[in-house]
This record gives sequence, C-alpha cells and structure tokens, in this order.
Amino acid sequence: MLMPLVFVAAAAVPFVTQSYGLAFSISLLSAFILAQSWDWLDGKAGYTNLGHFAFFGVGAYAFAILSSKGVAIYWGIAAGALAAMITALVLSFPLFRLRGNYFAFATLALLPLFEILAFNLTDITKGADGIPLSLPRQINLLYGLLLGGALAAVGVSFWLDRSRFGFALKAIRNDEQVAETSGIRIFPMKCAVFMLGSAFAGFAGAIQAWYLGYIDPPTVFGLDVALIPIAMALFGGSGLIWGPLVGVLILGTVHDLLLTHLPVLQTTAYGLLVLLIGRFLPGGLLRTKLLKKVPFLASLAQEHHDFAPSFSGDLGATPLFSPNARTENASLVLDVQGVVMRFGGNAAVNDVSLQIKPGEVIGLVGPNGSGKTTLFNCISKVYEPTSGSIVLSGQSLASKRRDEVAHLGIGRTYQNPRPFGDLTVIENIAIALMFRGRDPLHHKQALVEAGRFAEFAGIGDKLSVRADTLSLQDKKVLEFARALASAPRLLLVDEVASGLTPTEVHRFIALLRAARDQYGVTIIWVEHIFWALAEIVDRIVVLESGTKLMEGSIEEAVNNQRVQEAYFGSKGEAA
Amino acid sequence: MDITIYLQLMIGGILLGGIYALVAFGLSLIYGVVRILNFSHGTLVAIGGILASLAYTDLGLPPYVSGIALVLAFGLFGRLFFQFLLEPLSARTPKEAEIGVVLVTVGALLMMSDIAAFLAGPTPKNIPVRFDPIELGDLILSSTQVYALAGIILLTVALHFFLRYSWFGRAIRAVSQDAFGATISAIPGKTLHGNTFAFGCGLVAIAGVLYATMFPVDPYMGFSLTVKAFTIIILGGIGNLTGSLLAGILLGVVESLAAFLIGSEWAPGISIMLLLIILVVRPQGIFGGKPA
Amino acid sequence: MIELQNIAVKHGSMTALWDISLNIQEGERVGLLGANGAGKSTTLGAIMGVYPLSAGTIRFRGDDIGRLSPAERVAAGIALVPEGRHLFPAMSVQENLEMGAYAKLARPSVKPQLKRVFGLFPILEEKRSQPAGQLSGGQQQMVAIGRALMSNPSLLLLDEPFLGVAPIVIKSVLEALRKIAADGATILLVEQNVHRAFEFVQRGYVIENGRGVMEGSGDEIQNDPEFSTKFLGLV
Repeated sequence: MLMPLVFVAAAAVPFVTQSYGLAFSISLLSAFILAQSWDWLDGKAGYTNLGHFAFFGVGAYAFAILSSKGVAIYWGIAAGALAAMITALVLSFPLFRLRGNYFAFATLALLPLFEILAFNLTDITKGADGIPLSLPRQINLLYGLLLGGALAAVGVSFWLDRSRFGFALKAIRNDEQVAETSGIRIFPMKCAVFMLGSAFAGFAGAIQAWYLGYIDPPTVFGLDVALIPIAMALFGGSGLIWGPLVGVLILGTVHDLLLTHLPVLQTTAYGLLVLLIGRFLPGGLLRTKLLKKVPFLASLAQEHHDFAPSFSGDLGATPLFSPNARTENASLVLDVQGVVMRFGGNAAVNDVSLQIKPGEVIGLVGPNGSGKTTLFNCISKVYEPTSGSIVLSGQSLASKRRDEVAHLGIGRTYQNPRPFGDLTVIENIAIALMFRGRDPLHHKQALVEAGRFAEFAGIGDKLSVRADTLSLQDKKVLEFARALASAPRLLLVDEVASGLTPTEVHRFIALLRAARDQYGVTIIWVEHIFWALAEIVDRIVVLESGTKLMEGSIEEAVNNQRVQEAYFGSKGEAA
Repeated sequence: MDITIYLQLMIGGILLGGIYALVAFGLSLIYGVVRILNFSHGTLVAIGGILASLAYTDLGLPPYVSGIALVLAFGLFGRLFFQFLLEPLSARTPKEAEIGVVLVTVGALLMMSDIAAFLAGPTPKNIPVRFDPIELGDLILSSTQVYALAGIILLTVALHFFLRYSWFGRAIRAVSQDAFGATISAIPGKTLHGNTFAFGCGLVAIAGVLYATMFPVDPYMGFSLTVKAFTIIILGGIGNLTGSLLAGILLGVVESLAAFLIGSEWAPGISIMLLLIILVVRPQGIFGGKPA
Repeated sequence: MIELQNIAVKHGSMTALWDISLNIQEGERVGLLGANGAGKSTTLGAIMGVYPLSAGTIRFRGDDIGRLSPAERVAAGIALVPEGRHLFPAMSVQENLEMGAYAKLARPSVKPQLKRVFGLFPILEEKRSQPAGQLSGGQQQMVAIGRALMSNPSLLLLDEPFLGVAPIVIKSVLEALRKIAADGATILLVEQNVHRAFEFVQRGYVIENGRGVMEGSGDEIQNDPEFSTKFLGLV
C-alpha cells in the first residue's frame, strides 16, 4: 500500500533535506494533523466544524503563555492539547444544539471571537503585541513530535473505523433520532469526538508556536489560514481515511507554489480553488468517477465497511435472543393510563388508556387527525406526554430519554424507512446489537450475529449492500431486523404496509408472526390498511379526535356504526 | 456625564445600525427564499465601498452615480453567481450540496476580500465628501450623516413599498412564508430564487456606498459584517423588515456605546457573542417570525 | 375534460400511487374518496404538477400535460386548494387572494376576480386587510378557495376543504362551491367523509392504497353492501 510509504518518506525528510524542504514538510504535517482530526467530526459524525482552527490557536496560546513563564516544553505541549480539549468540552454544550448550516456558521464565528479575545485579554495574551518565545529550536525533535502526532491521527482514524465508538458516530451521521432509538446516547458521543479532534488541533498549535517562536492573534486565528486544512480535507474527500492526506499533499504543494510564484493575490487564487472544489468536487477528489476507474487509486477511495465472514445461511439452533417470557398471569407489557398530549391549545391525544399483555398483537387505527401517530410517538418517546403515565413492564417511561427507553426494551420501525443509509445491511443490524440494553454484544461479535438476524428476516443474501440502495421492501425488512436485534419486549410498527404490494405485505406479516411466536415480542401496529391488520392482530384500538372510540376485534370495529362515522361520515350529517 | 456625547453616539450608532440593517435586509430576503447562507454576503459591502471610493477619487464620480452603477453591477453579478455556482449544487445529494454551498461562498469570501485589499492598497479607503456641520442645539451633525440617514430611510421605505406592492416583492414574501402555497399559485420557483439573490446583492451595494461615505472601509470587515447581518435577521425574524431594522439599529447603538464605554476592541465581539447566545437560546428571534 | 390514465407516482422510493385512472367531463362535480393515506392528495398533486409521474399520462382538454410545471398548469386553467390550505400567514387576506392571480395571464383581471371572490365570501371583504394567519379555520379555508379562484380556473381541485372547519361554516362553503360549479367550473373534490361528499358531487371514485377500488354515483356507492369493507380495504 502506498500510504505507509508516504510516512516512511516523511520520516526520512530531516535526514535528507535542508531547511526549505524541512519547513515545507513541517507545514504539511501540521496541516495534515488538522485536516485528519477535523474529519473525525465531519466525515464520521456529520458535523462541519468550520472553527476547528480556533483550537489550534488555543493550543498555541496555552503553550506560549506557559513557556514564556518557564514551563518545560513537553508540559507546554500537553497543556496546549488539554486546553483545547477543555475549550471544546465547554463549547459543545451550546454548539451541539445546532445542526447543519447553523452549526457551520456558529463554529466559523468562533474564529473572530477568539481573535478578539486574544487581542483584548492583554494581561494574559499580551494582545496585539503577541508573545515572543525564546526556546531552543530543536527542529528534528519538533519534527519527530509532529510526525508522531500525524501517525497517531492516522491510528485514531483506523480505530474509529473499526470501533464501537466509531459505529455510534456513523449512526449519528446518518440519522440522530434513529441512532437514539437504537440505544445510542448521542450527546456524550458528539462531545467526545469533538474533544478528541480539538486535542489534536491544540497539539499541532502548540508545536507551531514552538516552531515559529512567536504568536499573535492573526497568526493563529486568521480566517484565511483557518479554512485551509478544512479545504484540504474536503478536497481529498471527507469521510475517507486517506482523503485528508491526499488533500494535504496536493493542496499543500499548490499552496506552496502559489506563495512562491504569485507575488500578489495568493489568497485570491486559493479562494478560487476552494470555490471550484465546492462547485465541482464537493464530495472530494477521491470520490470522482474518473478516479475510481484507476484501479490503484480506487482502492484509496474505498469506504470502509466491516464485512462479516460469509454467512453460511444456516440460522443455527440457538435462538437469536432469549425469548421474552410469556407469563400466564399476564402482567402487562404496556400500561397506558390517561395519556394526554397537547400541542399549544390543541389536545392531539386526550385521555387515552390502553393495557397490553405480553405476546399480544394490537392494531392502532383511526382516521386523519385521530391521534394514533401522536400516541405512538408518546410511547416511543419522540414526544413527552403532557400528562398521564406510560409503564413498560413495570417501569415508568416518564422523563426517560429515547436511548433509555430503547434500553428498556422498545424497538420501532418507521413509516418511511430510515436505515443508516451509507452503512451496509450488516452494519445497520450490528449497531442495534452493540447498543441495545439487554446483553449488548462486543462489536466484532455483533457483526457476526447480525448475519443471523438478517437471515431470519430474509435479507441474508444482502449483507454487504449499502442500505440506501435497497428496495423499499428490503428497507422495511431491514428496519424490522434492526428493531428485532435490540431484543425488544415491545415492537412498535408504524404504517409499514403503505407502498408495498400485497405479497410483500404478507411477507412482512409472516415476520411479525415469527417474532411473536418464537420470541414473545409484543407488537403495536399503527396502520390504515385494514386487511393487513386482519391477518394477525388479536384486537384493534380505534382512535378518533384523540380519544379511544372502541376496542375489540376487527369485525366488531368495521361494523361499529361510530367507527364507520369516524371514517366516512354519518348519513345523518345534514348540509 | 454630558448628554450631548451620548446623543452624538446614539446618532452615530443609529446610522451604523441602519447600514447593518440594509446589509441584513439583503441576507434576509435571500435566506427566506433560497435558504442559503451566503458567507460572502458582507464582503460585497467592502468591495462596494472600495469601488465607490475609488470611483470618487479617481474618476470624480459622486456617490449616487457610482451607487446606481454598483447596484446594477452587483445585481448582475449575483444573478450569474447564483445561476452558475450555487443553483447547480441543488442537484447533488443534500450533504454534498450543503458542503458545496459553504465552500463556494467561503471561497468567494476569500477571493473578494483579497481583491478588495489589493484594490484598496495600504491606505484605508472612504469617500471624503464635504463636511458641513449642522448644529441642533449642542449637537453637531455632518451633512454627510444627514444625507446618509435620509438615504437609509428612503431606501427602507422604498423597499417596504417594493415588497408590499410589486409582484416580485410579493412573490418573495409568499415564497418565504409558504413555499408550497407559492408553487400552486404559479410562482416560478427557480427564476425567483435567482432574481432574489440578485436583488439582495444589489441592496448590499448601496450599503457599501453609504458605509464608505462615513467610515473607512476595511477590506477584511466582510465576514464580521455577515455575522452581524445574520445576528440581525435572527433577532428580527427572517423576512421581517421592521424587525430587522429595529434589530440593526439596536446593534449599532450598542456597539457605539460599548466602543465608547468599554473600548473599541471589544465592540466587534459583541455581535458574535450575541449571535451564539441567540442561536442557542431562541432561534426564532425576539421580534418573532418563523424559526429559520 | 381531464383524463388520468393508469398513473403512478413515487415519493422517493415509496410508491404512493400504483394505478389510478379517472375521467371527468366538463362541468361535472366528481368526488375522490378514500381513507387517509389512500393517495387522494397525491393524485391532486399529480394533476397540479407538483409530483412527477412515474407512469401513465394526464390529459387536459386533449393535451398531455405531463411535462408542464405547476405554474404552466395554472395558466392552462387548473387550480388547487391544498389540504392544510398553505396560505401566506403574514400577508393580508387581500394579498393572499391576489397571489392567486400571479400568473401573467391572470394579472389584468385581478379586480373583477377579487370582486367575484368577495361576492362568494362576503366576510373576506370585511377582513381583507387582516393577516391571513389570524383568521379562523373556516375563514382561512375560504381564502384558500378564493385564492384558487383568482386565476379563473376551469378545473378546480379541492383537497379536504372541510377539515378543521366549523359545521356552520361548512354550510356556507358548500353553498359557495355550488355557485362556483354553477358558473361553469369543473370540480374534483377530495373528501374523507363520503356522505358529505355526495351532498355535492354527482359521482365518485374510491381509492385505497394507491389504486381505484370503486366507482359510481352516490347511490351506487353508498348502498353497496360491501362499501365498508371495500373502503377500508378489507376485501
């Protein structure tokens, strides 16, 4: 593989070149550490932090302040990384309330903010004068530290690709809400990766301060400098292990050429480059179709996916998970008492009560605006009920987070399937296995076990297929497998029949039946396609305008006059 | 303390805030319709100001002439920029489109501020128009300030009438309030997006000229202006002209007073801190309107 | 006048309509019925051009309109009163109505059309300067219908116009619809409440899960012994 050679070459630099080559390599290494560490938050978790460079500056200043007071270099560098990490921790509380565009904008605003702080907290930072440092210039040592940092960054990237933590980030990148209902606690995860990236940025900043022997606010917080490592990572391809490296090598060289050959307007040229990347290559160079045709380069672009050892197709004798107990004296799986859900002045669900025994399959129906979806969302904690109680097998769900509720044993599917799109079938199911509440599996084991669940659901032949390329039916089946993998006591199925052909619906019903019969899973199914419900439900609950109209068998419901009126109006409604 | 000093500061602050509001109007219209955050929006102000000042010193063009020329030029530029650089990105996946827009507008930001610096040269640029002091009691106002204030008021009123009574203006408001309702009312989506972007850029040109008549133009002030404009539209509510005007004036006055009381270096930081706090605490702003 | 031949519509990878065929003559009042999620709104959206077809054709007065944008279809004489109304809440009632005449061809006749709308819904004239978002549900529905009328459509599509409307107001809306029909417009009404629909429409199509399951006059449909099961898709 080519890439390790790059590092070997990098290691040889101090012995081979003189000051210019060394200086160039140092700038490349520094940019690389920044680019690679930036991509953990962007490529893995999906958050574009344009202010990453601010942590570089924090690290530089921490180092400079301590060094100018006589603290040893190594401690200074460590302090730089630590200071950056702590700043990230504090900032993650406000920042992670934002997403997308807003997050990018707010993080970019950090740069001028920190620059102003640096200018004005003159007692600490010496303001515009900057901090001069008189430190021994041990270039080779400095270089070695940077190289070490770069290798560590690569190591972290590899680790993230294959670790449980990394899977959590990938899930978050795809769909935060679904990640939560799969049992992942998202804020700590986001905070952790943010801190990790910032620590590396701070490390690089500290070393830069040592190298320059001087810092002042524009050097470390300037907007034009700040965006360079990010542009490099994006140019190569965010989310790919070698993306940032490719970007750094190519753009770093271009940047250097620009600096030496263009007397003026260098930033303009650089800006033009960034603009063109955005317009034509937002996915990155490694993802372009042209590149993928070159077999050698295509291997650089491979997105990492964990593949299970090829599945034998034999489900094996052991059950997928220990079936839920079906007690005869029927302690309730779900006890909903007087739930009310108000939005503004409007009660979408108005005093609904429901008792469900283990192993039952309940259909939840009602016309438009009946509140069935809202009730469903209250049970799965998408909403917190305004009043009333919901108790799952003796445990109250009040004020529980979605991941806690998932751990207690509620799994769900969605009307429009929401798989983790850029992950494979097996990874989707494995994530549920890794983060479930009951007996979570180690991630390597999860990847193997996931194959069995896929086989059970009938998609065992599609383990390495990317979830967003699956057919609608397969996506729904994948969701079922993923939900089942969390070994739920209660499975919430949301309008799964819409968009499926009758045959596909029958297949799905067979899966539900198997889940109930073999594993004692209790099921609530919100649906408006009655014949599908008729095949499996024990009873149905009809809601109308937020209240329970009736509960009973389907035949009773269909022939019930009030239900008929709810659905298609009464004959007596006069003009 | 002497009240006149405070009044003087207030007036300066109102003027500054009025210009901020003009910049914010453009951003508000664009964001309301196209839902794109143009990172380089504020940089257009710097370019406009520098070009206008160069036109004045080198070509002898009075500000209102260069103003008109710049409005047309920026409008055209905006239209082309949108059509060739931003609109094609909407065909990509959402994640790539988002990254693409950020990179394109940030790249534009870098290019434009560097070009602005190149054009401006080492000396700060402004339009040194006549200074005839007008006295109101103890207050001394320059005629420049009065004209600028009049200009801002006129423009705001004109904008209000435009949005209220012209088909284009009403279409902008409609699309920002309910895109689906606009589609079925035969408002053509794509053309409107491009024209709104052009319109927003044209507005900013005027802000640039006005700014240059009163303050020296710093080629690198673009991004912090964008931050301020964004703060204003969040505070005032997207698409809410009056709200943005009030928010802008508020910001201008606060900055002026803060510069005087705390020291001018902190003033730019205020808007950023304010923005961060608001984004987190109350994204729908103080004056209401939809959350963005 | 308008003919849908075996149309299919997808939302992303989900098929919302599998196979829908309708045929409506000029001047008719037709209902499109079915339980929620059956595909009624999607059908209207397809006619309006908001959702592209993945199969089938739509002919309006003989011409295939499949490639026309919504704006072009408004110009051709089709208008939609969408479910949930989609008014412009911060704009006044009058402004909302005027936006219905945005199409270039409709602009010259803004004044007479406005007069017509105020004639049908006098209360709107009273409230013409109020922001539309402040009106009651029933009044908002009137604005939505009025807005669609401003382009003087020959085919008016209404999607559940009685949702969220007080019973007394439903009466006046129905009366207005009768007048509009009497003026010559063809009307396609989507409604979940079958009996209420047949107080206005002459005949109806019942769809379920993206397919047509029944068709006929009010009597035929309502007196069908299997109506309930067909409607709910239990057959």
